[in-house]
Amino acid sequence: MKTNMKINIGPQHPSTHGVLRLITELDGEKIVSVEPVVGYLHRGIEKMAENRTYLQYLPIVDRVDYLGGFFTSYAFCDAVENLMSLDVPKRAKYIRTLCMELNRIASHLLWLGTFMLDLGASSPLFYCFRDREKILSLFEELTGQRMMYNYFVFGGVRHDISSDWLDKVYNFVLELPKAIKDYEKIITLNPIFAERTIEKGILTKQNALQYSITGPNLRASGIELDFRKAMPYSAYGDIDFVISQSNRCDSYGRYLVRIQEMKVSSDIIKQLVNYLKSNTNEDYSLKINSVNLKVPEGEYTSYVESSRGLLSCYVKSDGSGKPYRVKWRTGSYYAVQAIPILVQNHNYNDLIAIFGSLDVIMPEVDR
Amino acid sequence: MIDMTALTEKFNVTCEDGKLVCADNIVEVLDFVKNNSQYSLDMLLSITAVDLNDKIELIYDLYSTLTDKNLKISVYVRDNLSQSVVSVYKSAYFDECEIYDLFGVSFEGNKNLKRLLMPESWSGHPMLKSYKQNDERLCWNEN
Repeated sequence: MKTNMKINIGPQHPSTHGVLRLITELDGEKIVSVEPVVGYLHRGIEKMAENRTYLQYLPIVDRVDYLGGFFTSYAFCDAVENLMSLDVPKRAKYIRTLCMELNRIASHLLWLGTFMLDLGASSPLFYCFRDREKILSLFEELTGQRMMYNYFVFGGVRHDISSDWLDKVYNFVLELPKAIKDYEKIITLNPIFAERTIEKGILTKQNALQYSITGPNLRASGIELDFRKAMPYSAYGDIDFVISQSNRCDSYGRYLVRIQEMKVSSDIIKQLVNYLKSNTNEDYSLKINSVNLKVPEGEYTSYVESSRGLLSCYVKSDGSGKPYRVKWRTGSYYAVQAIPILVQNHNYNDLIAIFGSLDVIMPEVDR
Repeated sequence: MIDMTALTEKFNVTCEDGKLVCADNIVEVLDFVKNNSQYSLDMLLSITAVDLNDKIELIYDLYSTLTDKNLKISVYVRDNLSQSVVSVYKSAYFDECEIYDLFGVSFEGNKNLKRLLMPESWSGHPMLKSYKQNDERLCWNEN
């Protein structure tokens, strides 16, 4: 009598980008069902907010998504600023947007490298990390940190940027398209890569909406939704850019969208640098005293397009010095739920390839 | 923003702080705003639970990819039981499990409700305001 085999993957598994456990049921090599089990990285970030002041909580929000610290920082600062009806100076908005776009490129580069590693190609990882390192060095110079920046404060940014640093950023984004061209040369038309991604992990429009998939994964399913355009925040309203999109619905489409997005990000950064270089006399922060900060009663949800989809931060204040409730909505949380429908009836060896294409990171899921 | 007066009349519900306040008819309301072409709120962005001491507020954040509009619907839960909306939006499954795990709210109609983030053996619901933080199993003690 033939029975299906159950295989446990993870939680400690190099290809699950954190600690994700997948309970897989196989019929021979074919995947019958997958059940994702999450929670291994739960740190209680939402609970921590309730017994810390706003200022004490600020460094913690970077840890929600360690590859996109600027996005989470921005989401929290934006919510608090809106509750306090603060109008952030224009220069601060541009600096924040610049940081977020650099962060998006860094995050996508890490994704590209590790995704290729999942597929068994190890050289792209070194190229990607070589270029990501340049961004991290820029961040280190700016904030003193490579990953947990704590650079955005309520009402602006912690300190101003120098024109020297801006020159370095500009040079970096001038070189980046050449580097991306190199990646594309070795990846895009590579027959092994094509075989493992084309028509694999189909995420239809209906399923994408049903499972609340956002970000590059949604745009690869033919839906043009980018919260930078749909609800312009920070400086995005003044910036001219296109939404990268693909109608392929498969892993290959998700790859194309992210590659395209890195190019778009470098165009955005050029515009931001030009503005910042020509307007140096503006204020970079409201310089409010955040110690013992009291936030008026109310609730606000900020929406941010992070590198992994919609990041929203709900903050409810009861008028005291500590948040009453903070809720994080992240892109990976919903992408994990869609894994079972994406991998069904695929071969077992496609599981990691498809999972890798979603760009899920676990700290964002478990919080 | 979406004009809520038509919805408040149709479903006999109220409107509060820009949110539609529903009760047991949440599944019916969501099904309507999702499929009616006037609203077509095709995405449930998230479900947020807030402990208000005497009750728990669930906030359903809906979004339409066609019209770029969003709508918030809140439900007040008093006896730790609410209606599951997984039949309308599949993405609600994780949200409901998380709220069950951290707030102790059960969802009628969610067949596989289980603890999502905390270990299955955990007792209590940590996000409740009444949850004791000086639990001896925790290595950190905060007042």
